[in-house]
Amino acid sequence: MNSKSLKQLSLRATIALWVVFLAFVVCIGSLVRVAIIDGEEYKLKAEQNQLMDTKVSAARGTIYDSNLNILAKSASAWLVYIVPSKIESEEQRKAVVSILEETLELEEETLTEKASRDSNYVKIAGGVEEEQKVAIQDFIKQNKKLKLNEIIGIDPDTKRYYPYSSFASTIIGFVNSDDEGNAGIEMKYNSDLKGVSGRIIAAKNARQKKMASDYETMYAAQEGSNLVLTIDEVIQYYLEQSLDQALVDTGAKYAYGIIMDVDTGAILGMTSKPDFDLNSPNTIYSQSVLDRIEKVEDEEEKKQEKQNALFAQWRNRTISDTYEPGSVFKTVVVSAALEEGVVDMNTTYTCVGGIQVANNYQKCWKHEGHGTETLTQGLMNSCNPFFITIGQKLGKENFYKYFEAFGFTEKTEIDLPAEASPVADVTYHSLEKMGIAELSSSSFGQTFQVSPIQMITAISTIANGGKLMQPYIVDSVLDADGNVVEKTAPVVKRQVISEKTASAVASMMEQVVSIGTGKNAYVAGYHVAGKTGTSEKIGKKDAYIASFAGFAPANNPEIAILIAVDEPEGAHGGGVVAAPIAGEILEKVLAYLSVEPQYEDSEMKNISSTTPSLIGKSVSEAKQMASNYKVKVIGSGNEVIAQTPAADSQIRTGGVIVIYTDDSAAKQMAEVPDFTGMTMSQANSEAISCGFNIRFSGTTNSSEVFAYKQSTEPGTEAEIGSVITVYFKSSVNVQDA
Amino acid sequence: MAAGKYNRYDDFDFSAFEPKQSSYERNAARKLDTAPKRKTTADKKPEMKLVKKPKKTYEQAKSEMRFASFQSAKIITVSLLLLVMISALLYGRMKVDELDRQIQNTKTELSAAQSENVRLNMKLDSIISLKNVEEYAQTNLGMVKMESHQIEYIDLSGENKATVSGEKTLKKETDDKDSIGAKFMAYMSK
Repeated sequence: MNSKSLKQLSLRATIALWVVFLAFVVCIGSLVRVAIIDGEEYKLKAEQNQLMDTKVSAARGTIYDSNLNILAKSASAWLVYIVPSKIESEEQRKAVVSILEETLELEEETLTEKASRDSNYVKIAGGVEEEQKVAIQDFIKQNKKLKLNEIIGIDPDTKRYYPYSSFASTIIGFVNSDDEGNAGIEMKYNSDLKGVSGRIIAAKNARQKKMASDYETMYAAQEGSNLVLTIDEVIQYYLEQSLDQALVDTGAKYAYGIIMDVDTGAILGMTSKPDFDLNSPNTIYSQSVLDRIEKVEDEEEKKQEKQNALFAQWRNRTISDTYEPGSVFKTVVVSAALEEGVVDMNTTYTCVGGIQVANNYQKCWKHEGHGTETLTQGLMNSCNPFFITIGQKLGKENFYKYFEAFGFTEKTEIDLPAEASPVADVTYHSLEKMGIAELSSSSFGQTFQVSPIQMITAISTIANGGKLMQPYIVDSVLDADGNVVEKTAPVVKRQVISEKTASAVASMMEQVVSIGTGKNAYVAGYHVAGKTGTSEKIGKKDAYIASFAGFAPANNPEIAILIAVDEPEGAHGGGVVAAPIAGEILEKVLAYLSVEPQYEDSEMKNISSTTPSLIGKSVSEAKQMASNYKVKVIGSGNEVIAQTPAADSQIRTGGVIVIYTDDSAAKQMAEVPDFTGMTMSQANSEAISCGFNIRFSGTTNSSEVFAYKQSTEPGTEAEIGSVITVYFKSSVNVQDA
Repeated sequence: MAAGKYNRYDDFDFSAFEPKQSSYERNAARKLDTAPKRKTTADKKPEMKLVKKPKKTYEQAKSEMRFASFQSAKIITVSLLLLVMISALLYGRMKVDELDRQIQNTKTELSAAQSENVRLNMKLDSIISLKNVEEYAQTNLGMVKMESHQIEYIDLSGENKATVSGEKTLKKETDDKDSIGAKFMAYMSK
């Protein structure tokens, strides 16, 4: 080997060495860049590439009523979206629109518009059920040529079910498309109900599929808590049923009501009518509102109008609205006056039809005056001058002290959203700015506003012996396994008046219902106590709110009730409009709560007797047993095989009992007469002459009553001998303002 | 490269330091040693020696053959074992994957079934709402609401007896005993 070749060899080796060295430097450099400089970014990319991070949505908690009936429950569902940018042909667009229109029951026009957008994601519908999802998937499979799988996408979603549609809708509220509470309990207790989402972190293979569970880390979702409300489904149903009817009967704009447990402050029923279907809260249900919106021409304005209408529809007026309580507030004034000793049960006053207050002459609603009346009579007659005098005797300091103590200057802190906030000198008169005129008008419940929930809480205070309770609607919070996590304990805010005063006012309020302006709320045997109220709406002429607030039974109060009818057409007095509704509800609710009626002697004469069991007896025996009734025999047999009304039915003495003695004898039917406007005796004789029995309900202890409603519609066919309940009310001396 | 040069180690016989080998091993070593041996001397031709291989005895050949077959059996067994193990591992992994998929599918089915259950229950609840039940009871079945007078209260706070008919009264044994005792006392006091 010569030196030249050696040199060449050495040069080549050196070059090779340098190449290797440079390559090595480049490699090390890249390694440093990848591992250290851009390390985090690549780490993230690698993790994203190798790991699968799936969010596990927590199931939203269930809402129950006090008897554990489900009012709201969630289940997994699907969300359907489309990718309009992938639509290449008209055929594809038509196919997409047709299948979505068919399965999801959506409007073709809207779908075509969505499918024509230049977008990569357009949501079509959430809460799609399994059945609908399968139908869409089948359609996609059947039309493979159209490549619809690239256009229609389906993602997991949840759906909230409200089985009873509009039932308790203003209390329960609803959730938006992100499963967040938007109103009512759903909003107030959103954080409890929604739970905490979980995650699954798993390794994924080259096909982007999840690998075996060895690599899986799971953070389990924490399911939302379940809520048990104080609302009783049956009581709520009675309340809603009566108020729905009231809207129809009175033509009012709104009607709302609350039923409260006086000892605890628990809300047993609460509604604000008209309401909405919780399964479709964004639909406007009032035709008149829809017509009004339709007339608006400007698109922007129309949108705003629609939004306002929806907010008005979702509004829980018992919490968020304020109104002038009118004469109902007189119960608070009389409580304060008795407690302070400025009046006693023997105090009398002579009403001459008005009273001079500063420069104004305040008229009584009865212009000719009530004459001399006792304190109880003053409340029974709802005499304004008497209460102006009481208010003035009480003085503004004491008046304000009790106004504050009864909770009218603060929120009740009920666990519902959007409670109206009292504002001094706006919604009520502050002590500093209260003059004689303000004090006088406030004494009979005008020139200031309260919310219905504040008013019923104050009425409950009188009912329960003077304790101001904090109203509440969630009784307990349960975990996913049904264990009680939290139980609401009733909160006594303060002792406002003594038990003695409370009991005295309660008995005065019972008189108001027995023989005073609240007589239409009378329920035989149940000793209802209450007060009616009528107030003109602020800023609106000839628009009134008729209300009734009371409790029962007066001697041992269990429940308080407040009924308000907003802008009734025609008669607008609380005694005429609101009191009969309260009476109807109380009769049903007290019977449901198994409160035993205790009849006074005077009430016994109107109480119907119960029919004897005549089946199996001979005709002559039966006639003898039913000697107090008019017996009608149908058939030629000798033994009674059927009777109408059945044994133990409640009918009036002298009523009709039809006995059937023959199998072949057909049931005899007759047309039900219209009892509306009749007096009790007229209705009774009319019923008997038509072969029916009558049962009296409502105000029956007064002579000037007339029928206003009956259980079987007039003109319909009914079996003779059957019992028809006829409701009576009075229109005399039920004025209160 | 180093041809023609004297190798200073040529004069030593290193075999003396080597451990003694059995004939078999020596043979094997020879067989393995296929690499061209370094020329020890440049000008000297290697000494060719005819080594007479000692003839194997029958026993020796047999044992060698047995040994060789045993070795191959060992190799085959180990390979088979390895194969089985690898297959088992693969099969296990496959099975895990399969079961994992099944679990996922079943979970999805369960979730769908649960949702369906909720949906149907809610539908049922809405059908049997108080409003519908009341309407059906009143219009289709002709039922009326229960009234308080129809409730009969049974007073159980009184004496321990049960009335089975309007007039007949069944008394408990203790009462009978009492009455016998009373009769006896009455008889004695006569």
